[in-house]
Amino acid sequence: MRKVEVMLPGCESLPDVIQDISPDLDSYYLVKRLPVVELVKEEFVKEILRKGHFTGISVGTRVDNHTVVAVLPSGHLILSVDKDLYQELGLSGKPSKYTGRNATRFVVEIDLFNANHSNGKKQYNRVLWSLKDRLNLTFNFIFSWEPINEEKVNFMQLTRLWDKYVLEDLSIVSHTIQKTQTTVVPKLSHNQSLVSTPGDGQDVSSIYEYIGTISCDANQSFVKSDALVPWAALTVHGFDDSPVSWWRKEHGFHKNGCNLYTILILPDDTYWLYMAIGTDDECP
Amino acid sequence: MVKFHDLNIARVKDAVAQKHTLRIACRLGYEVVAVTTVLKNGDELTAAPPPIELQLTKEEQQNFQQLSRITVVLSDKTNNSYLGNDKIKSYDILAVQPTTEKSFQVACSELNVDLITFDFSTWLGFHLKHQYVQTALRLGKYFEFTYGPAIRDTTCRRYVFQNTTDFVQRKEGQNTIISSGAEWPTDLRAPYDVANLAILFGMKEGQAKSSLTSTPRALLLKAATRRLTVKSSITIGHVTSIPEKDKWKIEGSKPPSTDAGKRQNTDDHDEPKKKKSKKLKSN
Repeated sequence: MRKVEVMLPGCESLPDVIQDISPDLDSYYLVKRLPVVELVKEEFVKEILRKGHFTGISVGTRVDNHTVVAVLPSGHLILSVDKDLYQELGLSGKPSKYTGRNATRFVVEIDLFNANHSNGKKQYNRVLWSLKDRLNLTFNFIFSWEPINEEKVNFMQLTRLWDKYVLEDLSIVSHTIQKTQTTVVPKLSHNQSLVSTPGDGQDVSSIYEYIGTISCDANQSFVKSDALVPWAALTVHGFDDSPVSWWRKEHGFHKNGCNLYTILILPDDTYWLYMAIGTDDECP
Repeated sequence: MVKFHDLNIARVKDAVAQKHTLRIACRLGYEVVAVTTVLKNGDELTAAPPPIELQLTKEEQQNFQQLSRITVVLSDKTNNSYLGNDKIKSYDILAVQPTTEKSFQVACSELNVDLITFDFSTWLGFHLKHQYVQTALRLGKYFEFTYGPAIRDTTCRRYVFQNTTDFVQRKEGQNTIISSGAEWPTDLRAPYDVANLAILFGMKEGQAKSSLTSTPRALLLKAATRRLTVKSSITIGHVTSIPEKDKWKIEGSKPPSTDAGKRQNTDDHDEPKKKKSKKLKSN
């Protein structure tokens, strides 16, 4: 996730939970110019990947033009490459779903937890040969790591593994509180009509639009007024240029890379889940 | 999908403005950019000038490629015989801009050029006959629209829209690239916006994006075959000219180093390497 937004309408003072929010900061890092081969080496898989939740994604490259790589906690390394690189890479992959009949983009998936992915095995050697310095596959890589057992083994190992590369602590996860002066808040209840009735501005899609406008800091004058309505919305933004989204399904970028969801919580413990799906995205 | 291209940025005399335009293009997300020299009737032909120093950051520099392009303005009286000479070949792209129907016909059929471009910002003065366009497409030539004039001026905008929609509808946007033709940084737009503009010209979603990505790339490969190959199929280079990183590509053909080591030393360096250019039709 890239950003989390919490929206609390009609709330005079923020609850303490949100006020002193401090995400587990010491597990969010940026490595500069990391060769992909470092992510498939057995040592890394054994010491880091198997010992916790490791999620990582390359940043600064676009999923529709460049090569993008992601590592999932399930032990999958996903490479989204263009045709030129795919032909030189020497690893088998699937054509991307979003490039039409003549595929110009391919998705290569490597299962790092596979039994064959260990020293001495043919498959392992092949992967190492493909990703080694031959093709200049280096990325700026963002990752978060939460070790399963709380022993303090963890971070030192990583720095030892990657001591050649610049490791940057992204602890400055910024955290802003914005007070929006608005008296216009839609009224919601659990028996809200889920079907859109055009014009009343109270249906499900209008509410989502309302949340969107507040989040963009725009003028919201189209929703009917009713003050003092306690409900809350939590929006989680993903990365636009990620090669995967929902349940390891492929994610692409045509004109936008919508990759976010919103949970709307109503007072009677009813939850609404909104998921934004972009053009090049598969419905989960 | 490949990188975003803008294969027409005008070469202007003001060096500062030129640098600024190129830097803006880089920041907007274009990664391959061609600086165009226009050659009108009577102008003196010079070899391609070197790329302009831009003082980009190291990472920007890595991803940014600057090419040279020459656009020859054709009229009936132009002598076309020099289009194959070495000075022209020193440019990465050779484009022609026909101004009469006769020269359009010649450009489409006889001349060995990569790209046919038009001044769509005024009345063209002749009709783009379907038959000639088809000939050009069959010979693998490309067509170009420039959106820069449409941003500069309202009258131009009307002409640009009229001409391009007309052209796209009849030809369905095949082999067409879109470029800026920018003289000033303000003429440039970001790639996704240009793709949107292309939809207004009548192109389909996929075509609109590929007219900035894969079609220009195919054009560059075609231009490379015109300049660097024998009969558009073979290039010959010495093994030593291959960069260190690409050595693995020929290692498979080497004899195993143990017993045939001696033979290898004598043979390997004398034999020129033949490379077939496979990716001529990359689309």
